[in-house]
Amino acid sequence: MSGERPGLEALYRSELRSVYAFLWRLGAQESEMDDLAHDVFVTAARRLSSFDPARPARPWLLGIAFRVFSDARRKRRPTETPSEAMEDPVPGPEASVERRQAQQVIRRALATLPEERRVAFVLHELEGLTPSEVSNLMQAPLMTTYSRLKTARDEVASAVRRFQLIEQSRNGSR
Amino acid sequence: MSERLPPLHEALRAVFDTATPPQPSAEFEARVLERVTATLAGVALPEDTSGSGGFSGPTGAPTPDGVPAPGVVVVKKGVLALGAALLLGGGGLGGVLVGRVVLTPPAAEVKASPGGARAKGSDEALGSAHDPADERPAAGVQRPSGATASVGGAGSMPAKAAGAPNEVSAAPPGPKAPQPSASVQGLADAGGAPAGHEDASRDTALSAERALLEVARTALARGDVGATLAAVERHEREFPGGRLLEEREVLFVQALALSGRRGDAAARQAAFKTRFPDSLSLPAVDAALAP
Repeated sequence: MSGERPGLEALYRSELRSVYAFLWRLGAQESEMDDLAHDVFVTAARRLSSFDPARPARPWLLGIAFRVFSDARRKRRPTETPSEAMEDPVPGPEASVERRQAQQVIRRALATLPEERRVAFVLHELEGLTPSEVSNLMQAPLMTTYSRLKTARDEVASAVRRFQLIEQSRNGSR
Repeated sequence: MSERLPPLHEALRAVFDTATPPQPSAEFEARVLERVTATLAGVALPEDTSGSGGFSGPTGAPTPDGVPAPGVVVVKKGVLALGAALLLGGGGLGGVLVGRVVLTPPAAEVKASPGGARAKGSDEALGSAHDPADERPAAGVQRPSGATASVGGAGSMPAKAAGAPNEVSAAPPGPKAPQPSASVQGLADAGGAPAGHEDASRDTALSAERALLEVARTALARGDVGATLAAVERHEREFPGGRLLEEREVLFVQALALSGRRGDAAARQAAFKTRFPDSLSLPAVDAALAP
């Protein structure tokens, strides 16, 4: 889609899955997905004229998704803790047992991070954005982004190990 | 800045590679697109009673007692080209059909959101000046009963057959607002179902059927008989024994009658009655040919 601004429907068809995956990784629950995806694409439609078609659409759209998600979290239940907010035991019937377990471990591990590090981690490590893109998208200095990414890696690695052990002990006790 | 982060630890990367996120279903994709379309057009969808939607933001004006109010509110002139938006159905089933809505980028931001306070800085680079959460239509157009109220009923025939009950099919809920120009196969392919799986194939085919008939309904609702017939004829070719056969035939009869081909309509009507003697759509089929 270089050089020509995509229509909203084309953007929707090509990027919905990415947006959905991104929101899921940030911790959105299944029951929220409808509203979040709706808000992302409505916002995108209204800002489509400001989108630079020479640049890839995904970072731009994920930026909108990040903001929609953050706003929704703030509006929703200010006192809700991340782990409560991200408990979602329904990864979908198509998932294999191994994949479901991995999904749960990842979701729980990511949920332990503060939002700014979780978002930075997901955008860089899982969505493939460069630190510079993450920095622009999150409106944070580049050094701050690097710092967040480094810290997030350690935290995620530690949390994943912890939740893997929990999963293993659960499976072992069954 | 030239600093680079080393690659993610292999074991950690492996966990992430295994934990691929779930994919949106074809139904989700169609449903959300419909809501987006409706929001951008300022169309109020009927309230969803299925409980989906997790936020407390106000939604888009469902009407009392579940019956959608016929009306289109264009949020801002020039935001959308709204060819036709019809709210169809009655009898409490609240069928809805959003007509052909052409999504084009707005020239400017739309009206300010009343009470739509946004987080600080959110409009600067990413967010919108208008909070879509404040105008969300209710998620989906699912019926409380779980049955789909097809628009093959009376409402889809302009100025005809008022009061006839809606057709009820066994199709999964959710009339969509597909773009007639969109590839139907493309719509079906977007489902994310694993290839080769029988159930997934059936779902995919059903999605394609539904999308095609939605094109027909939309065209019929705006009085475009040619496009309606083209869509139902294509459905007949591609899904001769499709799961939405009954629904197609209703549309076929209505379109033929509206086009003035009353003889062809009557023949289809007779065949329909033979094949579906207990159809809930019989009144709609009869109404299409009523003098």
